[in-house]
Amino acid sequence: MTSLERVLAVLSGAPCDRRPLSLTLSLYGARLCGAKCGAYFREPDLYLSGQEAVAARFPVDIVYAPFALALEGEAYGSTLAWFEKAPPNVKRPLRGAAEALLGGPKRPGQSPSLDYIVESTRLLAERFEGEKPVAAILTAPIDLPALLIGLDAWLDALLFDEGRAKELLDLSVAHFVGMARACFEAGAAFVASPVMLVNPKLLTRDMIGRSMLPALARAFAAAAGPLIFHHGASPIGASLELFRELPGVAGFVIDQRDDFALARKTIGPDRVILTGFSGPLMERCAPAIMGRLARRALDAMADDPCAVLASTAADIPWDTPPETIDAIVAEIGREAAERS
Amino acid sequence: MSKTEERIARLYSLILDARRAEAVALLDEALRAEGFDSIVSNYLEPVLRTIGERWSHDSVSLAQAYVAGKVAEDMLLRFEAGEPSASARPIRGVAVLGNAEDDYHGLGRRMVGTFLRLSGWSVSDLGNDVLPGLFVDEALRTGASVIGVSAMMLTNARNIVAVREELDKRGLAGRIGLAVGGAVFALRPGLVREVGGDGTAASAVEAPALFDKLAAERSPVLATEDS
Repeated sequence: MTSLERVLAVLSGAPCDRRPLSLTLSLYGARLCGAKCGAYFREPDLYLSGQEAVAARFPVDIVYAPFALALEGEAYGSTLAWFEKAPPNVKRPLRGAAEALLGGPKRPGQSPSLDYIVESTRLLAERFEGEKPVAAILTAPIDLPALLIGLDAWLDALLFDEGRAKELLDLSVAHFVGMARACFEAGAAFVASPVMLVNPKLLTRDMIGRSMLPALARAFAAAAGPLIFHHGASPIGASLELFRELPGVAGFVIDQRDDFALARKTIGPDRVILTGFSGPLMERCAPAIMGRLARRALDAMADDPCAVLASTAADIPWDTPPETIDAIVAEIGREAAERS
Repeated sequence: MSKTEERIARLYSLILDARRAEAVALLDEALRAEGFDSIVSNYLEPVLRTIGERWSHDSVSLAQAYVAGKVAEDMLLRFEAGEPSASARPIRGVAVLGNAEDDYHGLGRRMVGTFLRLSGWSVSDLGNDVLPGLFVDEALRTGASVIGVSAMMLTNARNIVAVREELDKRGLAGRIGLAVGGAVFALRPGLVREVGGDGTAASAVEAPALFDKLAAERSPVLATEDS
């Protein structure tokens, strides 16, 4: 089976030759192709080279477009900090960022940063057409204001200025819909979105239900393609019930600490669950331990036809030894051999 | 239930419901009757302690803790504006705060600053993206007994190692404590030691207790400066 066939099988609950594998290796591609981050996250051709190197080195079943959410902030004027071994980050909340957003959502064609995301997606989709699905990664509409104006200013609006919060949310939704549609038109099979501010650790259930879920529902319904709801960086098992009715969600990336069986029971049998082990923690994980973690996750999903073994949370760090990733691949092969 | 207990319960509930103006009004009423020191020790401190405990057990959200910080900030502003009922409050110690080099996520740091000031600490806040040497220079300038460094992401948290090295290089390890914090420390408990931190707190509300402990361990002379 090709990766595409494997992923399509999982989406429909059909059997496949081995458990599909999703590793967030957006950054790692720069290491494999010897690129500097400053160029890699600016030049679509270079990004493509990195992901070709990833696909040549590891049998991943999903190829990821750039995981660099800060670029969406840059479209509204945010200054970025650049790192040697990490994707760019928004330097500081931008003075006047709210006004920049309130001036209307930016579209590809109006911002080189957004053009880079969409063009990278297009190049990947062309290169891997018929072979591997491409997932674009976009900031969740409810989190974009935090990226632009800072979490405290966004909390201020949500808690104490309902009118401003609504205005900012409406425009963030419009931004997300515009970007998601552009990525789908460029050939993305999915749009994955790490969603932070629906976590009861961060906001009250009342705030989530009153402001965040309706905004997500509007954005997802209008995105015109299948979405992957990504847990951000925290367990979401206890709040998955809140998200199961969201439109357009083909799958959930859940935290490695979440209970797989409970998550499946909560969201029902049809949607894909992607989970396994923390991406950021792989850097310090010896191959033998990584293999055991992968095996434990594979065992937890053994009887589930709609599950993908996946790295969770943020990107897999630059300094992760390739042998650590190989250990996961080996475990997938072993499990498939045992099943057959 | 005494009037004080009633007020504490009401204040707690107003903060959890994000009714900041009503929470401040309640404290203002107490302020007129009892004075500033009383509202801090009798109302704000017990409520913040409960919120801190519940926050570290995930039964209070960041947003609710943020409201608590805002209410505390509103009352501190009254104090700093020369609220006549405020007595000269003893300074518990001097702390220098900042985000690690390359880190720009300042929410946690600002909340820590608010709760420290409310507890009687004098705080020098250097902001985001602070160079290691600057933390130590400022600590020496202000006579600080604790430096608090915040970082949200792993890459940036590792820059705290340079603050540790700077303290050690200048022979200050026994005099100035290094408190570290931020989301990544909750995910990786071993990181405190890895970056050379002397301790961390489970939440911003609990930071004053950590700073008190570090100051007492390292600088008993400064601790007596309270009087």
